[in-house]
Amino acid sequence: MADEQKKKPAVIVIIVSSFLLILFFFISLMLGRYQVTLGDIATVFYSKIFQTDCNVSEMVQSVILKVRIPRICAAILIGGALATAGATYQGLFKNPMISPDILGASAGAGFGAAMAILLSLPFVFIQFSAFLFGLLAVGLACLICKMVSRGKDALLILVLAGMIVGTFFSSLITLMKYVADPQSKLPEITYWLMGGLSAVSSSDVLMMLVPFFCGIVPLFLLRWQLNAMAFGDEEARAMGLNTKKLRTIYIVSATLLTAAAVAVCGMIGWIGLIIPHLTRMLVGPNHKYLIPASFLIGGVFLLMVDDLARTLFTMEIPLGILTSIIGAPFFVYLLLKRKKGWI
Amino acid sequence: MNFEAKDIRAGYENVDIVKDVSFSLDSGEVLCLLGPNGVGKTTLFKSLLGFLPLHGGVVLIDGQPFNYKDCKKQAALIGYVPQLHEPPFPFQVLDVVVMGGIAQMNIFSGPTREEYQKAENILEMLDVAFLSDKVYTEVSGGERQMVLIARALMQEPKFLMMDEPTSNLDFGNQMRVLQQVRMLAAKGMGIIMTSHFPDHAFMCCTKAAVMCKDTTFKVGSVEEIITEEALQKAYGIRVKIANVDVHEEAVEMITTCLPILNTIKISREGRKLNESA
Repeated sequence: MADEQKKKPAVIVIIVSSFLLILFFFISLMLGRYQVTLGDIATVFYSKIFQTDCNVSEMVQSVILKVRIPRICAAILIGGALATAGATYQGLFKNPMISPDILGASAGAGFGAAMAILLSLPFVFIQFSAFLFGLLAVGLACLICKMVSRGKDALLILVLAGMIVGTFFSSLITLMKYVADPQSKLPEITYWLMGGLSAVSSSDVLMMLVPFFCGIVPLFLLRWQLNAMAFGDEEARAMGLNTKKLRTIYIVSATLLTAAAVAVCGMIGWIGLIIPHLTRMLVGPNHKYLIPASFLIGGVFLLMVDDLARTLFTMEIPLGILTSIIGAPFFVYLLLKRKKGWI
Repeated sequence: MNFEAKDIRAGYENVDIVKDVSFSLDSGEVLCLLGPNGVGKTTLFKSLLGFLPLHGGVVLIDGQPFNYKDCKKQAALIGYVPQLHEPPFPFQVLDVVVMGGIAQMNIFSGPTREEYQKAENILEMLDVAFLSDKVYTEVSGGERQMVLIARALMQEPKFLMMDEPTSNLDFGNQMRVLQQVRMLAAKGMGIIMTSHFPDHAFMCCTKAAVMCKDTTFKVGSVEEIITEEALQKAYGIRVKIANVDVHEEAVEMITTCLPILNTIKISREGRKLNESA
């Protein structure tokens, strides 16, 4: 059957990117200033799983278990979360130019973090405040949309409302920076906004898992319906979908993912925009394959960029800067390479 | 089956655009909805499809009031062929067609092999099997319309609502679409379509309705409704209706309407002057 042949590349891409993800997981474990060999990793894993004694030094153990594994897991989860959220938003808004912070989640989270830093709250509260304000910003955008649209052109107005809320929170961030102490608080806020994974601990990753699963599970389960949603509200409704309910589920899930990601690692741009594009070129626009493939490729991509961020120079480069520096020319390359129509 | 609209009032927010619309349609009948731009054809369509809430009146299916809240039930009853749209993503044609069956599928798993097979069969029935592995954004307008019809048929509806199925299509593709309308009606589908060409009603419809700017709505058999006076009233132009014998074996007389344009006399010199200016 013709469609069988067409589906195969998508499955191959998903299998290959899964292998790449595992491969880079181990490569990333070895990378870094502190030398760790594959043998060390195997011994540590073996001893952890079977509860046996470990003949590798304490130092190596803690580098692997306390520093690198949380960081690698965070990179994979965040890359995957942002790419999946991006693919969802792009499908939902019928627009391939949309990124997950379109509804103001990043700006809101940035404001939440900046305020928490300004109030000298502990690190956990900075993350919590970022997450909360990320959700609040999107909620505000939805509220404005509901007030303005009264059921008409809801999607377009939602995007506009998102821009309004985003701009509003961006100016609040600037205000926070303006009043912040330039010796201590200002650099801290600026550094947080640049985004990075250097401070990630295993408890951060565990905390992130809750909103992450609440977001990713519905998106994976309902990914096929996104195909019909991409044809617009009316057509999807005529095909028998409860579009209002579905749209709410998609927006809430994608927002949870975005807010959780931003809360842990700060503002990391581009991934939610370019990874769905790249993936669509590889597997086509069918969300049945696009969503899982976006997750995997997003995870691999952020993991690779984070490896570069921590190994390229002796001083770590903020992740947000690096994704944009790599992302911008990469996007141009993708646009040049794209097949006709396969945006 | 019977589809009956009774005293429909519809519009946006508090403004009624369409008033006192009543008609009835049986399986196998084709109703062509005519009227000038902006008269509310699309509003009426959207209301009958449940996209807009009805301001008044009721839709009856076999005499039972129909509840638009149940999207799934609606999808199994009324298929919708939208006006030619700009598709967002380059889906494969077969994936677009199979989407039509989405309401019947398990919500978590995608379409099964049988559903893909069904989609292929529908494409074959519409004589466009060759499209199945093409990219939806790259096929022509006429082909896209066929894909949209196939997608609606995938729902296995009893009635089909087609919003200007021939708009933006070339002459040949318009006729190919109308041919399919005829074929579907012959198979027992009840079809409501809008058109800008009264000729289309003569070609493939059993019923016609004309909407005018003064919110009058007249419905009946095609011959009864599409008269010279009615068209003149609706569109504000002079129209003659003619019966033409085309001397084809399978075709009887063809009824067609001919708009009469005002003759404008421009002298050759005058036109030349205009051109050079």
